[in-house]
Amino acid sequence: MYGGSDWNPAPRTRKGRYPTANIDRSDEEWFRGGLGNMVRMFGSDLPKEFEKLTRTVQGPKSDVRERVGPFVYGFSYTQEPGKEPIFQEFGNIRPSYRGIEPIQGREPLADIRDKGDFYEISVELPGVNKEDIALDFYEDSFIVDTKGDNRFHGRSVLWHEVNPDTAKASYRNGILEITVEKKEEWKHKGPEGTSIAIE
Amino acid sequence: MWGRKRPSIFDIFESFTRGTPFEREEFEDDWFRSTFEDMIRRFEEDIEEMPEEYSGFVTEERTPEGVSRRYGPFVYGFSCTAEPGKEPVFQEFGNIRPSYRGIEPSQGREPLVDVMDEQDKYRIFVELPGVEKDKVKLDVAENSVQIRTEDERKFYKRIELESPVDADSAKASYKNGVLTVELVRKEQPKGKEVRVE
Repeated sequence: MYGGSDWNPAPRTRKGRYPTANIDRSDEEWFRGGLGNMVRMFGSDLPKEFEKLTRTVQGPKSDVRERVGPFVYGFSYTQEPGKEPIFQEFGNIRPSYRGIEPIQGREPLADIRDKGDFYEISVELPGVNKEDIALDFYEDSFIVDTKGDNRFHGRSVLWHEVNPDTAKASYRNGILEITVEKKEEWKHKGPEGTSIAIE
Repeated sequence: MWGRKRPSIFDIFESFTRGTPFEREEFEDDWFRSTFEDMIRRFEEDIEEMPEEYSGFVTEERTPEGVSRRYGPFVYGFSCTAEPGKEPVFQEFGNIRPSYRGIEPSQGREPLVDVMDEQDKYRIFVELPGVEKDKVKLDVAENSVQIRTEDERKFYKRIELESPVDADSAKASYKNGVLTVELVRKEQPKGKEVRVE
């Protein structure tokens, strides 16, 4: 319904360049062309997945309007010594080769720090009540799911296997802080695994 | 295709439209990474005299092999809100910005903001996860709102308002990492109707 070429989120601007390739950033054609097209289509045919993002507001002139959004997309990039850089996406839409697609719940921004024996993880869940957070730990990953208006849902995979029983979590000021111990065989090995002496 | 010297964040987005790195059979990571690596190299050149606002991006850890540095997380994103009959509103957030040098860290992380334009007031939601309530500094003027945090996590945002508000009427609350601000719109002075003789 919302796939296909009409949804191509990145039509080229003039000279095939993007606005910020120039210093002048006032030109937002890239955004307008891509996401703007997507948003305009909502007027006639709103994908079911987006219905929750529609709110009726009463405007300044007592007019009642349908407001759609906010649609959020972002990514984070972390570089740790001796590892492949970690690239993560978050938000409630996803650019893909099929166009821009909605995802169920907004994917939260997570920061995963390798502390040798354990992981320290911060997951940003602004606007969520503590009681509405569900956290499930597995040996290789964890899933965060929240209830309420501002629904978050996301799964993150860990580099080393962990012992789910050791996971501890606390929530404060919109951030879920987690610590979890690695499995014995991965402890003390550092990011690059065990170094083997060559005989 | 990527002949240009410095790919920006928007090139990264464009690349995603051909499939995110995970969807693709072949991961063209060189140019993508090099954008970040360029920035990290600029950090390293000047690690001793790095401005304070950038030091939040670098974590140093002492290991037997020496000092190892973790860079990031670098965050960039945008949000979009649309109302019929209006141009969609796009806002950027995150702690890096596209620039002519590729990517640059911005001063303070820009928070995700949602401005609701209502009948007689504005309601503004600002996501400031990880900040203590008393570290949030809010300044309201007639035509703008400025938000700043003086915590470990530094956020900064200035919001321009389309119509003037009564700054004295401002109400703000902070809960679960979200700052909510309510501002009453100023009454437009009524012009005196002059009869045409």
